[in-house]
Formats: sequence, C-alpha cells, structure tokens
Amino acid sequence: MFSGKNKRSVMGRQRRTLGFTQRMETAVISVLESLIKTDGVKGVLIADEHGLCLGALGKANPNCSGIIREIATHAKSLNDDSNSQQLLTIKIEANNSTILIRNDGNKTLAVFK
Amino acid sequence: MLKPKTISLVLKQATTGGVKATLLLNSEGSPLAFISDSDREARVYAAIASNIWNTIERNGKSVMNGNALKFLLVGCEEGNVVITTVNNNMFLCLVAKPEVELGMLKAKIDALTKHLEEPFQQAATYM
Repeated sequence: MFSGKNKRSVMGRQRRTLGFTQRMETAVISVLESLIKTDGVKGVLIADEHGLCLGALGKANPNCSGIIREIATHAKSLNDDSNSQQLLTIKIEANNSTILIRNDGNKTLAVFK
Repeated sequence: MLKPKTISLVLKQATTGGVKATLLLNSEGSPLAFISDSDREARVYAAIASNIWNTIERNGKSVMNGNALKFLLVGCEEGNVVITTVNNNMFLCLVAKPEVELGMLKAKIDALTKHLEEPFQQAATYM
C-alpha cells in the first residue's frame, strides 16, 4: 500500500493478509458443514460475543443467536467458581429434540439434534 | 503514498459470500475506493450511509451518554448494511444481501478496519 522504503515489509504483510476475509468466511462455513454432516445433527449455529449470528445451517434459526448466547452467559453465572476456565455445555431437552450449547468466552456454538 | 489499486484489492476480499458492495468513504460521504456492481450504486450507498451515520451520531448523543458511535448495523428488507469509522475521519461500509448474517458482516468489517487502520494512520502523519 506504501511506496518507498517500507514497501517490502508492507507488501509482504499484504501478500499474507490478502484473502484473509475469504479464509475467515470459508473456515466458518466449513465448520458448520462438517458438523451438519454428523449423524443425528439437524441444525448448527455459531454466534459471536454480541449474540449476532455468524452462520447457521439446517433447522437452526439465525434469529435465535441472541437467545442462545444469553443462555450460555447465564449458565456461566451459575458456576460457583467465577474464575474457573471450565467450558460449560448446556443441554436443552425437548420431547423430540435436543439442543447443545457451548461457549468459549467469545463464540457460542449450538447444535440441534 | 497510498496505492488506490491495493486498497481496492483489500476491499474486494470482503466482497464475497453475498456482500454486494464494500465502500471506503471520506467524512463527507464521497467514495474514496469501492467495489460495487456499478459506480452509481456505490455513490448512492455512500451518500445514504454517511447520512445515516451523521444523523444518528448527531441526534443520539444524549442516548449514548456522550460515548462516540462505533459501528452501525442496519437490517433492511432487501439486505443488511454495516458502517464503521476508520481513524475517525473515514467510513467503511459493507452492503450485503439479506442472507448474509449480521455477525459475519461485523466480523468482516472488524477485520478490514484492523487491516486498514495502520496504513491510514501512517499516511495521516505524512500530511
């Protein structure tokens, strides 16, 4: 992006980073696609730290991303040890289906079975 | 100093997977660089985006308790739009089809902003 003496280092960074958004999008889609192919999985959704949907496949409704994120956040507060690095998995069982939710601090994953 | 062609290449990287247009605007709403189906569309998106941002920033000060507006996510009937600032004097705007999720749009614009901030900051120091 610059001419002059900084050209080589800046251009090097550009060669590494051009295409970075495409890789980011592809990574999310490939994770969703690999999960949906698993036996018994009917839907999958990933939400970001604001509860916005990054991607959803199958019967997962993208509009549920905010609720799913909040469920994960509130479940974490049930943990006595607030400093614990343990990852919680929340299981919601209905008559005919199950939803598994896990949050790693940033992203929240929901699997619909 | 700044190579326009390279900026366009960077913006092009975000214009994938349902994103119709990626625009870099100055503070007055004029496009500096853009990737879009047509020039006219880009100018229309740019004018509307900067207008929306300035209106909300001006009228929302009391609601935001004096905090600066960081980004706007707009869900419309026929698409989604995300707008943010780069270096406080430029806007970055992504216009996408309705099937592109808001989270993905935000992730893309965050990545673009992070990538563009340093070169623009360096360019500003030369001016």
